[in-house]
Amino acid sequence: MLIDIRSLGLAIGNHPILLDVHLKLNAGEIYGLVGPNGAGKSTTIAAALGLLKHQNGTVVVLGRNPNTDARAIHARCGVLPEQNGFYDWMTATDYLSFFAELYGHSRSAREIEGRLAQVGLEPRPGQPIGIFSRGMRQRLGLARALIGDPELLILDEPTNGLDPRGRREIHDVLIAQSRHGVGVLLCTHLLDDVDRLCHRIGIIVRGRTVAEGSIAELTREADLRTRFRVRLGGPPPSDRALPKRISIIAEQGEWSVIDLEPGFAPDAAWRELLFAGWPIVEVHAVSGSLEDLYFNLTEEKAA
Amino acid sequence: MTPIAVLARKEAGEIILSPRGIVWLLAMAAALSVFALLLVGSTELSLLDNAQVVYDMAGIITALGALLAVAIGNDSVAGERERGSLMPLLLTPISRTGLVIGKIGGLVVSWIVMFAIAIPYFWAVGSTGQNLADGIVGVALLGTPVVLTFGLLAMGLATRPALRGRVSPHLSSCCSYLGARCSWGRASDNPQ
Repeated sequence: MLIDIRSLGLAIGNHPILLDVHLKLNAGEIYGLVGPNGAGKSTTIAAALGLLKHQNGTVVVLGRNPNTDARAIHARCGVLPEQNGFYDWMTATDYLSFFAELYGHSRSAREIEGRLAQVGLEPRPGQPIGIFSRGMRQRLGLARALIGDPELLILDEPTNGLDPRGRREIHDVLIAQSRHGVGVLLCTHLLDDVDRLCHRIGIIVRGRTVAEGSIAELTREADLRTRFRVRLGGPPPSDRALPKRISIIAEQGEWSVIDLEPGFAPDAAWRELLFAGWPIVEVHAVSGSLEDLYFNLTEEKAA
Repeated sequence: MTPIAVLARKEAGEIILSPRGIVWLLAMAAALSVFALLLVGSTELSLLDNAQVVYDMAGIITALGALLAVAIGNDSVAGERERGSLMPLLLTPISRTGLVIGKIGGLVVSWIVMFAIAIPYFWAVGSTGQNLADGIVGVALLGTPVVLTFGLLAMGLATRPALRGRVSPHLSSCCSYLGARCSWGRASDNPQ
C-alpha cells in the first residue's frame, strides 16, 4: 500500500483542521480526493508529505512516517502542488533538468525533451517559462512531478487551465502511469475527471472522510435513484409494457427519461428493456452519478 | 553535482540571468556611479586624500552589498514563497539545511558579482594613490562577513512573515546607516 491514513487528526494552533480522515491508496490505483472548499483536502496532502505534522492517527506513506521521514518520501513521490510557481527566466528544458538533478538524476537533453513531449509540451528553443500560457505551465508542473520516476503521484487540480484536448492528454498520461504501477492521488473539484479516471474516491467534509470506495459502491450504498436518458431507435412496443422497477419520467421525441429503483443494476435494466421490445440505441446517465453522490453526501454531512 | 550545488547554481543564475537580478545589479552599478562621481567630482569631497576616498568607497561598496544581500536574501525565501516556486523545492529530497546552504551560495555569488562590478569604480576613485590594493583587500575581508550576515538575517526574517514586515525596513536602514557612517561620517570628521 502506498498511502495508509487512519483517523488522521491535525490542528494548526488551536484550530482543528482534520478530525478523522481515512485514505488508502494502492500501487497502480488512481484515487480521487474530493470535497468542498475548506474541507481539508490540501491539508491531508500536506500531512501525507510531512509539510504539516499530524497530531492524531497514523499516516504511512511509502512505508514511512511523514512526520519523521519526509525526505525519503519526497525522493519517491512526484507532486503537483496547489501553489505551483516556476522560474520565469528559465526555459522548460533547463527547469526540468534542474529538478532532475535535485532528485539525483542526470537527464540528457533528449530525455528531457521526451518528458516534455510526454505531457504534450513542445516549447520553442530558448522560450522562457515566463511567456507560457496557464495550460503550458500546468503541463510543465506535471512533467516536473514525473521527472524523478515516482512511485506515487500526488496531484492537486492537475487539469486546471487546460482545454478539453489537454485534459484528455493529461488523463491519458495518468492512466498510463497507473498501468505502470504508479499510485495517483488526485485532488480535484472536477468531478468529470474523477468519474473518468479514479478507481476509488474519498469524500472529505469538514475534516472528516464521509465516504470512501469505488463510485459504483458508493452510489449503491447511498441508495440513489438512478435516472437515464434513453434514445430509441424505433417505435416502442405496442403495449408499452415496462419491466418492474423501471418507470418513464418524461418523453421527448425519440428520447425518454427513465428512472431505475435504488439497487437496480443498470445493465440488468437494459437487458430487461431490450427483452421487452424497447429498441434502445443510446443511454446517458443523468443522475445517480458522482455529482449526485457528491451533493448527497456533502449536503447531508454539512447540515 | 550535489543537490546543494545544483541549487546554488540556480540561485546564481537567478542573479545573473533573471530580469530581476539584472535590475538589482544595474541599480547597484548606478548607485556606485553616483557615489564615485560625488567622490571625484564634488568640490569638497575631491579635496579628501587618496586613502580617505578609497576607504569611503570601500564603506559604500560594503553598504550597497549589504543592501543587495538583504534584497536577495529576502527574495530567495519570501519572494519564492509568494511566487509559489518555493513549494516545489520543498517537495524535493533536498533537506531544509541543504536548501538554506544552496541559497547562501546564491548570496555569495551576488556579492562576488557586486564586488566585480565595484572594482572599476574603486579604480576610478583610487587609482592615483597607493591605497587601492588595501581597499580591495579590506572590502574582501571585512565586507564579506558584513554582507553575508545581512543576507542571512534577511533570509531568516523572510521565514517569519510576521516579523519580516516589522524588521526588514530597519535592516535596510541599517545598511544605509552603515554606508553613511563609513563615508560621510568619516569625511566630516576629517575634512582635508
